[in-house]
Amino acid sequence: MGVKNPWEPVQAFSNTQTPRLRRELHVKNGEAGILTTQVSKLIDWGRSSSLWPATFGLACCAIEMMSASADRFDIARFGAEVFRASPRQADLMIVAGRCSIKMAPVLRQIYDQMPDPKWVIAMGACASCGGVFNNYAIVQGVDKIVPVDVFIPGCPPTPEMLLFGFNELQRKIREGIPNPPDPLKASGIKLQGPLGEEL
Amino acid sequence: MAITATSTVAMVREKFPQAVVETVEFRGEQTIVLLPEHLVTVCAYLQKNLQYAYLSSVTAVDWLERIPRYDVVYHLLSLTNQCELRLKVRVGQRGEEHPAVPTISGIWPGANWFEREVYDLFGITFAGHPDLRRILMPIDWTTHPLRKDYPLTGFDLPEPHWGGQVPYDVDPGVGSQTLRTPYGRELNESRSKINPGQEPGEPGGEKRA
Amino acid sequence: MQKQDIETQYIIEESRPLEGGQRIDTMTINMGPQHPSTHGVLRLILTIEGEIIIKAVPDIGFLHTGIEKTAESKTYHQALVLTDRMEYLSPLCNNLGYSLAVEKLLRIEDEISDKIKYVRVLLAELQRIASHLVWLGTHALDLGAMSVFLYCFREREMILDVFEEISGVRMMTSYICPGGLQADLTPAFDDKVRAFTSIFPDRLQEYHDLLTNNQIWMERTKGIAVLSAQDAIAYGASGPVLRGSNVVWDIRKAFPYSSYENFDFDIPVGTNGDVYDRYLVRMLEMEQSLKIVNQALEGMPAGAYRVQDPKVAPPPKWQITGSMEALIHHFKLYTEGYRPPKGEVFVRTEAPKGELGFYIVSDGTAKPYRMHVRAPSFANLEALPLMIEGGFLADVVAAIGSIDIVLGEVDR
Repeated sequence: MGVKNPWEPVQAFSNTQTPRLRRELHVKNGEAGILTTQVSKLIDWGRSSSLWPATFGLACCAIEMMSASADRFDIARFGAEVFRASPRQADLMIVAGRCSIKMAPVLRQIYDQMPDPKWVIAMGACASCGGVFNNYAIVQGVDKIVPVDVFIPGCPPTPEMLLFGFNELQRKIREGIPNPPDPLKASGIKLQGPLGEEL
Repeated sequence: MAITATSTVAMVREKFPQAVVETVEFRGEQTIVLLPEHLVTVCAYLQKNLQYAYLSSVTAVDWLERIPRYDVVYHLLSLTNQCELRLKVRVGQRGEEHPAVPTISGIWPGANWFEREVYDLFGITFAGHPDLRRILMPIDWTTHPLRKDYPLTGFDLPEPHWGGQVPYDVDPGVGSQTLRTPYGRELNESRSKINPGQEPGEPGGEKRA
Repeated sequence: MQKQDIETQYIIEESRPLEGGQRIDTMTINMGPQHPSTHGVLRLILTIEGEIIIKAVPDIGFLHTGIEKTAESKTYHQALVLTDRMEYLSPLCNNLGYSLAVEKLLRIEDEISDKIKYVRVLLAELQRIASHLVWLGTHALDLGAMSVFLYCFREREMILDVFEEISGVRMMTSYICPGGLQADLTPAFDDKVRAFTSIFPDRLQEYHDLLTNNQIWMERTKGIAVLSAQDAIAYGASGPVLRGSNVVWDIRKAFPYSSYENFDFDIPVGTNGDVYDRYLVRMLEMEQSLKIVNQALEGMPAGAYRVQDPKVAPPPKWQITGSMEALIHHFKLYTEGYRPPKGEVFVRTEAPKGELGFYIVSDGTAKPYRMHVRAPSFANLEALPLMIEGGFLADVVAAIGSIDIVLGEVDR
């Protein structure tokens, strides 16, 4: 059996509730570098304040994501100025909606096409855990496929909840909390793309 | 004479007495049950002569404990006469894995995708269909999910699909898990129904006889 | 069969030789399931020669959720929640169709009071406006008019405020249930609806000013993606796609349900069947829906919000503490559910996308034996290749936007 126990959590620690991790200081000749720590902090602040999401709206949560980017719950004020159509230009993937088994390789391929550093928000109950649909057709949580940094519950989560999750992700980036381990590498599942090639 | 649903039923009975198995009226809706071999002729007659120009939907119902097993259901609508009609065809003999029904996509081109969906989810093939392949499930899926003997949560998860489908060499059997009692099914049809001894945490690996 | 073999079946590889040693090749491109026009996860395999589309094959199923199978294991009341998530731009209309079908099965249509019917009509029409606003916003966004997107969502927020007021949820309300409504209207409902209806005519005029006589808009939409009336009927297209192709057909007029016969409204019908006509049909439909909302608001009768039959609709919650029968009915309804008699019904309603049909087969138990949803976008999408083959690649986005598909109901 190549698949591990589906009831086991994929990652062992909570992403946002982990205590502050001390970033490794850059050590040169036995001395810790203070300047490079500040630079890392600055870079992290920059990354968190200008997260550009890739459009990955799948189902109903996508509509609330669109509402979050519209004028009432403006997501642009948090730095997500544009939703990049191409994943090569994005650093955040908001998986908004239910991921069906036909869509799973596509999801993984889009995630792979994003350059590092990248983060994933699982928006909604279906992306987090399969939601209302505990059946043959829906992947029970996209954290089986991509490493998810922030889960947002709700069906669909209101745009305010999405913005809260977005802020949690920003806090996580600023504090230097690393991405969770990649579930596909851990479980050894070989993914087949839509043309039969190996992803 | 004005064409209504009831008069349509009467006209079809009169013109094709050998094709009609029975007619049912329930809640004001007329249903004609036809023999599969006469389906195309009756549909052509309905479309040309009785102006049923609009096909609303083609679907199927799986009656697991009945022979013939499947009901293929067609909903027709006449825009000019503002009346609706349902046609049914009963197919699926004992042991027949992929029952065949003649296609009506020559009469209503819109039936193309509906019939593909019925093939995808039930396994009923349509003879003469121009392009019968899967439409909703992944294209190399082998099983038919909406059959009653296919469990809701799917079978165990082989790779690379994250959903469940039975591997090629395992026979899921007919009617082994979800036979209905007269008193209705249990409230939670969960994975333990596939293998009653399986604990929620363990991988399955059910072997059926 | 290898996946690749299956998919290359419908690729046309042609090469026409020209003089001077040149040739024209066709190219097959994939407009993949993830693309920026937010119409959902639709995959189009387009074979193009230059900019002209020779063959278009839609590949759907990327949002297949198994809703019909899931509904077979839920009671009728529980399955209502699943219907919200199919056509996620107009959940209340799905709820209405489902509730009408179940009520027809249960034969309690006569017990549905006028108040319930009027509220259902009001909410369905508000939902139609909300759905058309999303359509307009995304369609205009695809064709380059980005500010229309923001304006439409601003108006839509007011409608979602109304839904939040009565049900607590913005989108997936499940407010219209078999047996009536889930809860009574709140006192603030009237004000919120009037707040919307008072400003919306001006806003609608704003959209008309921006787009309807706009040179760029007309050049991008007139004569594009034409669907003839015979093709529309033959393929089962419905809703604004059918009406834009000069076919007068609206289920609210042909088979009136839920007291639509008491309302006075017109049906806009297009002439040419191109993108511009479908756009105008939907804009005028928004106007007509507003008219219906005003009529419903003015003429709202008083009455119960739920059928009085305790075998179908649970008694009000506060009665549980006092009345044994109420408690037992609550218990039975929420654990086992009501059992409609054996039989089947097919009820069609006019959803914003077209003819939404619910085919429910009951075998006498508390769970539907088979629930099939006739999704309007499924049939409308089937007609897409007819519209875009022979046209330019740049018009595909306009065509997809004009059909207004929601992949949730195409794939179910």
